[in-house]
Amino acid sequence: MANGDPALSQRGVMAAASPSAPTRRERVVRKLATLIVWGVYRRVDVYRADGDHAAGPRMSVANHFGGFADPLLLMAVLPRLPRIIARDVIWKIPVAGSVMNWLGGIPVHKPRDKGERSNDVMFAEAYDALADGAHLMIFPEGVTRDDPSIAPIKTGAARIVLGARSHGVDRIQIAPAGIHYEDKAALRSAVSIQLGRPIDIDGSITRYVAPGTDPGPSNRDAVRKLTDEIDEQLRRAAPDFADWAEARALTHGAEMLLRSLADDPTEPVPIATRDRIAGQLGRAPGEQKATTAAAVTSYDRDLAALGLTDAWFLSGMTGRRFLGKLLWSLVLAIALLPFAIAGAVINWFPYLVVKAVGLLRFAPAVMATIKPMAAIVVFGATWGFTVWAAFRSFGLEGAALAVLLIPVYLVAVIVFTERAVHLWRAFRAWRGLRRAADMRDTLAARRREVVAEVVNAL
Amino acid sequence: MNDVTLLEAVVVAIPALILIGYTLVDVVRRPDLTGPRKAAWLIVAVIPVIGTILYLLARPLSPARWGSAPSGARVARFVEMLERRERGDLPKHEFVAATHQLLDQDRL
Repeated sequence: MANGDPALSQRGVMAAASPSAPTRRERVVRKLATLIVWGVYRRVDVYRADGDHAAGPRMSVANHFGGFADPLLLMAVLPRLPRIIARDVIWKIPVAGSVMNWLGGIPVHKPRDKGERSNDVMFAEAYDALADGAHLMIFPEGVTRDDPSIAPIKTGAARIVLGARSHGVDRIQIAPAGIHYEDKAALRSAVSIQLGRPIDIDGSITRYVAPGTDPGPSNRDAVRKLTDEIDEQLRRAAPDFADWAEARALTHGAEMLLRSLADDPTEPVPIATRDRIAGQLGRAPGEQKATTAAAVTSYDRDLAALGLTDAWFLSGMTGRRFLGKLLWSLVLAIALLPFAIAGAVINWFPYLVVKAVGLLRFAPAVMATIKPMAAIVVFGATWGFTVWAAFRSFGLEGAALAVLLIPVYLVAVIVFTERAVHLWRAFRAWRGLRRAADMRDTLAARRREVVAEVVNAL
Repeated sequence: MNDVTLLEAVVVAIPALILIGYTLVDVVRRPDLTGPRKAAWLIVAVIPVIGTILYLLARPLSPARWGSAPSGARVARFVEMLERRERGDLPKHEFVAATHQLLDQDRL
């Protein structure tokens, strides 16, 4: 353990540690992460529980479903740019290692590779960072995961925090972050991030460290108690379901409830709220949970058979507002068509390559790493080639125009495609609704029952 | 530029002009840019295309608003009750009853 390590500087006593203004590197990283997140996801919703999310030294703990996507999202969304504590294998990948160093990542060695490379250096670096008032981030499960629940969490986060505290760093907070993917392997999908209430270590230390015992990371009892607390808080923030079928059903049940309450049922529901409700449903007693999930699933199946979605069905697909929105989609799609074609000409090849990568057989969590990596490389290369080609044909001016317009065409093709799909689905739903005209009342009654079931399980 | 058709010109010119215009307006209107820095960026921004690119690259992102507001009074009311329930300030049966009541003002 790093206790008493002479290499460790004891800067400590950061009672007045104020978040320093972001450095240039932080601003650049944040901007890049935000732009990528905007491109990859259709929607990102963040819920912040009460509590101070920006001040002081902090250890963020997050669930790890999405591989590479998880840290990217958190770098964009957390109040301050975190330094990532991660397995040293990442540093062995070419380029990735340099990127991690540039981001200020801190490598952890697996216990079995110990020996000449012990983790003392990691602990010392983490204590120093916390003493400087930094934000650290760790995925305490230690592995990416394909089930929608939290794996038994490791003790690293608790040991780092207790160690830093016994080296004189105060005001540390542990902040749980739960990442909820709608579909983690899909492009332009939605994701919500729940930032749970931070654990204030100074205020609660007596709950973990018995009086008169060693307050440091070698106190096994304290480490276990704090780890249990982190486990509980992370479970509250992150998805914690029996399986994906249950996760989907309860999430959709939550969505139906929100839609029943919304002024305009065709508007997308606030997904951070939806996922919080689904989390509550997931903590309902087993039998109630099962009944609710079954009710939602059966209602969904009947709607799907008619080509309907809950939002379309609820709207009745009539009314000026509803038709006005469809008309707006149509006008927008037509106006964007020429630019969307330009976007398609530039991007069809990298798009197909990334699609093909998606067909390879990997576990979803691995895919969630490989696909964005492939996308960055292939799209980047294509755009680079396009700029070069424009330079060859039209000189510097052409190249500059290409740099300016490639992102515009990309946005155009994305928006156009999404609007076109929306219109096509509306048409299908309209047909389904006409066919189901005589079933409308029955379906509406069933929907009411399902929503009542959801409410009772909350 | 030779052999450029009208359509190609339109596809290039319209978005380029929109971006150049947006950049100029943005430099003028940004409240965090003042005095000599604003003047300097204005000089950069009037250089078409290259100045536009430089400005758009350097411009800080507007603070990202991650997330959407609840749509409507009933959702807001429900979220408030959910928060109280999570904090343990609202017993389960009261929460369930109040939510059913909210839903009874439902259209379907």
